[in-house]
This record gives sequence, C-alpha cells and structure tokens, in this order.
Amino acid sequence: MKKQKKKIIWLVLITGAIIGVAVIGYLFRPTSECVCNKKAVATLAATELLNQYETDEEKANSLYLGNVIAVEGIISSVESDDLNRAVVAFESQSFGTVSCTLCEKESEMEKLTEGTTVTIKGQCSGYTFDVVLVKCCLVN
Amino acid sequence: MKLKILIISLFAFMFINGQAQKYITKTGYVYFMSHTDAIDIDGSNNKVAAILDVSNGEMVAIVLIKAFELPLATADKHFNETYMESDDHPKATFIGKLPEVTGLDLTVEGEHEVTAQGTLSIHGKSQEINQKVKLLVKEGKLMGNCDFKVNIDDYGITVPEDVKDRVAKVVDVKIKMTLEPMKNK
Repeated sequence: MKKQKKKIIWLVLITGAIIGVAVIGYLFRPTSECVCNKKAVATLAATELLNQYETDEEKANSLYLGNVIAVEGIISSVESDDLNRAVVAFESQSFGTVSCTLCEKESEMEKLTEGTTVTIKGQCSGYTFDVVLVKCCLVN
Repeated sequence: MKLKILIISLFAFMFINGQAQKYITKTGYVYFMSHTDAIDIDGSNNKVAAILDVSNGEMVAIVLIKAFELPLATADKHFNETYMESDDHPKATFIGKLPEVTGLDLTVEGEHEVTAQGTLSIHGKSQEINQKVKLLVKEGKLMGNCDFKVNIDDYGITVPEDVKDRVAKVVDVKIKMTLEPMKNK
C-alpha cells in the first residue's frame, strides 16, 4: 500500500515537472525567425505591390499587413543590416521600393546579385517610403 | 492623408544651389525597454524611415510596429495584439521640426544639441513633444541620437489587470539614426 502511494507521488511529481517544463518552454520560446514554412496568401510582382501601397495604403494593408506574401522582381541592391542579415531592395519606378530583410539562415549574400530576378517570401510589416517585408526567405 | 501630403512636400526640392536640402534614412533604429520587478520586455526595430529638410527643419519619421523584433514569441504576440494593436495602428509617427538645424553649418563636422518639436503618434493617439536630440555631423551625414520616456497611458495603451505588474507604465525608448543626403533616383 505504502509502495503504491510512493509510486503515485513520483508519478504526479514527474508529470508535474514535464508539464512545468513544457509550459515554461512555451512561454519563453523564441520568436520564429523565418516564414520559409508558411504559405503565402498572395504572390505578385514587387512593382505591383509597391504600386498598390502608393495608391491606397489602407486597402493594401487590409490585404497584406501581417500576412506572408511572395514578391517577384529584379534586385536593385543588396545590403547587410546591423545583424548581418541581407536586405534586398527591388527595382522600381518611384522613389520607394520593396525592401526584404532575409532571416539569418537565408542570408547567403552570394546568391543575391543586383540585376537578377528572384522571388522572395516574407511577412509584410507595412509601408513607410518602402513596403517592408521581414523574416524573408528566398523562394527561387 | 496628412502624412502622405507632408512626405510628398518633403520629397520636393531636394537641392538648392547644389547643396543637399533633404536628408533621409530607411534604416533608423529604435529600441524600447519595459522594466518591471517581474520581467523586462524589450524590442527593437531597424527599419525606421525618416526625412529631414534642413532648409526649414521639417521632419517626418515613421516606425512600423510590426517590424519590431521581440526576443520572446509570447511577448511579441502580446505586444502586437494586446498592447499596440498593430493591425489597427500599423505605424507610429513623428511629424514636426528640428528648428535649430536651419542655423547649423552642416559642412562643418561637430556635435550639436537640438530640439525636436512636434507630434508623436503611437497607437492612434497623438501627443505634442519637445525632446532634446544629439546631432552629430560627420562625413556629410547627420547622426541623430535621443532617449526619452513614453507613458503608455498618454497613448491609450491598456494593459489587462492580470498582467499589470509585468508591463511598465513608463517605457524607455532609444532612437539612433544616420541620415544621408538624399540623391535623385
């Protein structure tokens, strides 16, 4: 009887510890860095995305803000930010551009050269003078 | 709409007598820290866009709330969904002036203290601010640096009762940006 009681106490303690670790792990999990495994809600040309934001920012936000989208365009510049992540800007006709910050593991700068056409998937953060995509991954 | 008109007017007349009149950045940095005894929550954003017209001191700065990076996923979710409500209020803006800039000789390197006067809008609420900014003129660029405090009540940011001890009423904010002379595209 005593042995059984001890067994139950151990079982409760171990279960409690596992649940505790899982809860702490969940609460303190790091922010996901990339959207590589997420499905894009829309695929469009970078110039078209910029045009939509320049024409009607509110409408464009209702379609894209916070969502994962894929944009295709010609790279106009590649720079690296203060965390050494590649920041790709697409060619455009206006002053603004579509700016994509690639997530760390995707930041292989050698793949990204000015003048090449690429498709990049990222999370839309909105519009300043540029349309800003973050957590981006190179699709092709 | 007011912001859009102001940006368009700031983009006009980039040069007068060959001298750059507008300085711009798209990679300004903003950092915030909410310090409480229970937990420190911080986040940063290096996508701040700003344009300064040195001929009249007018300035616009735009911060995208969804471009903030918070280390913990739970904090990131609450920051966007509960506190900043970034779907409804996707950007914070400063629209105002740095009046002393017009009196500075920007061809000479040096450090100056100037005042930013204008309207700071966060979470859809606006407040007039008057803030000291350190401005370093170096290699033809303007490097602005400023620390200030934001009282979240002033901007209608509410915190649920059960987590009140985990979110500071007054949040520390640091801004660093390097503005470069704007080039014709």
